[in-house]
Amino acid sequence: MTVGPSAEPSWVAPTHQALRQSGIGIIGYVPDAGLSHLIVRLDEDPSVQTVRLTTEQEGVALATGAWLGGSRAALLMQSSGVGNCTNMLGLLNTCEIPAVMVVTMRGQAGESNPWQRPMGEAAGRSLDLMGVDVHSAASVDEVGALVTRACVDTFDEGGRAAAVLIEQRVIGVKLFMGDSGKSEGER
Amino acid sequence: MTGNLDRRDVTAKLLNDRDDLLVVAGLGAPCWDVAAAGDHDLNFGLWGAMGGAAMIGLGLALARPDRRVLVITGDGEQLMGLGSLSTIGSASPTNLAIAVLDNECYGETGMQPTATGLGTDLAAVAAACGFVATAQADRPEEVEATVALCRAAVGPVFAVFKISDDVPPQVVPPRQGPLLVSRFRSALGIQG
Repeated sequence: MTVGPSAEPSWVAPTHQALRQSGIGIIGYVPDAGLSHLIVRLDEDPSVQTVRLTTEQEGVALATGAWLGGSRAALLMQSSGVGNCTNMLGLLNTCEIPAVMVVTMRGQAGESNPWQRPMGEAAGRSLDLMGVDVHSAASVDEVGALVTRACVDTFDEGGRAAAVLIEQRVIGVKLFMGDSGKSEGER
Repeated sequence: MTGNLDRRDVTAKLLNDRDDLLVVAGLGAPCWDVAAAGDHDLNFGLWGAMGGAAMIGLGLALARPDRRVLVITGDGEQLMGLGSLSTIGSASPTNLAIAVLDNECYGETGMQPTATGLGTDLAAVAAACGFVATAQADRPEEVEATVALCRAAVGPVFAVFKISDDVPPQVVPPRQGPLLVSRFRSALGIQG
């Protein structure tokens, strides 16, 4: 699998490590460019089973089944996918199912696609409204630690499902044909 | 035109001598059908999360590859999770079977027609998504073999039972989510 020419961002290895050390066995994802390096690592990691989803809400149900069977699950998605999960998140809430979500944000500062803004702006509040604890990572250095904390809170401390939002300033912005500006974080 | 199989009879046969079978029941009538066959610690009967039953089955099947997992759900519930058939076909768990009790209508909301009576062939969709064994039972004499497929064939298995639109008396399982989860996990010997 190729992920393009970009170098692995520095938050990816600590995040992978955090998921491994938290005993995550099953990971469901819908790809996002910002998640591409993490996805390659997880697909190649024999200690986890990855599941390619057609829509993010499937992952919420997947995590529920995993927990019923004694496994811990994490979900990876772009902020737009949070909206696809809303009703299904009631399952985690009602049944007190622990799960961790890693969400790469679009629609924030520097976004050049206005269609990403509504769900980008609503993602954190939507999760909160559905009873998911929300942690926001605003710098590359804090992503891994926040994922570890989210896993401990939900799986070990009996907390609610938890999401770590990786802000667009960490991921970088996506540029389109005709856009001007820096290409940092492009993809 | 709806089928003529009896939903409670089909469900009882699916769960006969269930041994260590792990069972997920989709919301609505299939959840009552599974309860009518006998409450069990290894039943996870849904009262919501429409469209999620098959994916709960996948999570369970991946977490417990040593156990057979059977999802029993309705046509409306499965139609809401149609994409999950693609996901399951890709993941290809050998220990997962999905049985759809298909009455071609939304039974909990006033018997409005579903797409399975208007052209959608769910077993054909599942086959096209990569399920390794698929079947549809239309007549009583086809039930036994289709049940056997669900219980024993190498999966992922997908079976449609064309049931009548009769509405048998409601039999409800516990509705407290944390109770259903904790008794299920306890029955599997999972700590905490």
